[in-house]
Amino acid sequence: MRNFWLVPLVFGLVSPLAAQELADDPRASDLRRQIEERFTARVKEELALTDQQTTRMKSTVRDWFLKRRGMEDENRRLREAMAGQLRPGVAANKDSVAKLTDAMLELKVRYAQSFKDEIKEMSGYLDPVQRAQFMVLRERLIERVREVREQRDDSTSRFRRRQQP
Amino acid sequence: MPVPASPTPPDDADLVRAYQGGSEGAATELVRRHGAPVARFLVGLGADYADIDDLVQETFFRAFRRIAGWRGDAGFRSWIFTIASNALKDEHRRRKARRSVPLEDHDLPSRDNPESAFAVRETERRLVAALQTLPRLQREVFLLRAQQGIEYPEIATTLGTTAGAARVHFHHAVKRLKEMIA
Amino acid sequence: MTSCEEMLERMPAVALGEAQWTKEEALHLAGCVSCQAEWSLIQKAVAVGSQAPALDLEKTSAAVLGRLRAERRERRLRRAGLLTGLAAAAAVALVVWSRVPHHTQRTVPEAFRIPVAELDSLDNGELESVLQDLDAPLGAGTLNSTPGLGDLDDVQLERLLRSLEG
Repeated sequence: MRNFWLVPLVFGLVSPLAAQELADDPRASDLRRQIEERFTARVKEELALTDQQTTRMKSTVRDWFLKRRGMEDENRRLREAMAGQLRPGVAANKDSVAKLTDAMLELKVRYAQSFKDEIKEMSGYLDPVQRAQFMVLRERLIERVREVREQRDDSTSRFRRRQQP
Repeated sequence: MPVPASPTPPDDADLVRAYQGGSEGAATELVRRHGAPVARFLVGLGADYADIDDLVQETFFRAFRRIAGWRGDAGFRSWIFTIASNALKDEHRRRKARRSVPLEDHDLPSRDNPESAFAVRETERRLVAALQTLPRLQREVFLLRAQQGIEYPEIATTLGTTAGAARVHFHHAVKRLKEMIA
Repeated sequence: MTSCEEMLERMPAVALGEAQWTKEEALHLAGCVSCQAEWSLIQKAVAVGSQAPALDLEKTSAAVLGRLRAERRERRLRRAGLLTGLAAAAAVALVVWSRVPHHTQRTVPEAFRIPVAELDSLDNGELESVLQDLDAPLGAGTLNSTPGLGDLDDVQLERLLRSLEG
């Protein structure tokens, strides 16, 4: 079976500039809001959440969202630092690169673990089938996000290859 | 408000509008029209015969509570079927929470159940058991198509898929069921 | 010439008595073992439905309407009770309300929205693409392109969850 814990690991790849631009773009904010609203509506319907479950889930997802956002920020800082070390024409500091690599890998593991811990927290108020349904629904959404990111990465690579002399 | 008089029997949309206008007679007519198909659908999904009455009642109760949620894009009957399916799912969940039953157990009509008033032919029982092994979407597509004769576009709207995907699900379900029941 | 796939598509209507086999279809069915198996299956599906207990639908609708009326009555009583309570204990109520955190005084409850941190990494075009897939029925686009997880039934989902949670 495909190990879908690997899926969130892909999410280290955030362009710092793009993230900053997105943070300031009202259209992007509106689109994210719409996606989250529709996803939430689907979750509520599929899981047939009671009001109490909804209240508790609200708290759980908010807390873990903030933690993962913190991890995304940390990852952006690490990637910037790594990019600084790996600039063409600049001799990389091997110790720094090794430490950054370790930190990025450790972060990826923590990121993946956060999904597991979040689902475990939900066991306090969701039954096993509801938790699995939530996992499946979110997995689908994240999978789609990963696909569009890969399409962008692919087209960026092709563009760069075309630009090379 | 009485059900509006018309030369031809009111369609489901007319009845829904009349119910929303306060006509309990319209609600009664909707139950009369769709109650039996809902019961058959629930049996196909594996509901206990002993629970059918309550499940049909629960289905229509939920439906009328959120009647505004039926926008007319799918047939009223198909919409009711999804409510019935969820009602059955909730009932299974409640039973699992109340007693320790291995998850592989399903509530199937039992010929040996002394409380059951209805004889179940062995071949049909095997079909219901086989249906329980299918993924939910495939099971529901198969029942909507084979048992209820609903066309793919309506199945698609009802279950939130596409007509093409519904067709594929149906053919896959037939293939698997044929292997199990042959 | 009728194909087996076309035959399967016709079977539900014929089994429900809404259509009849053409001569060509009848001939095909007589000579095709696979179609005969499928025809038998479809007939059984219709037959399963026919075994359902006869319902007293008048009684069912009366029960449903009774429950709906009771629910509406309860809501009205709750609202009336609340108003009476507030009117009778106005001074106390004012003190209570003044201590309540601001956000609970809103008349519209705060909407519950599951935040998805991964969306932060997408640009507008990509976000629109994801939104379109969410709008599309399940099964369209790529949101359902990975078979397996989406097709798992309750038992399989439970097993997956157990294996992941340990």
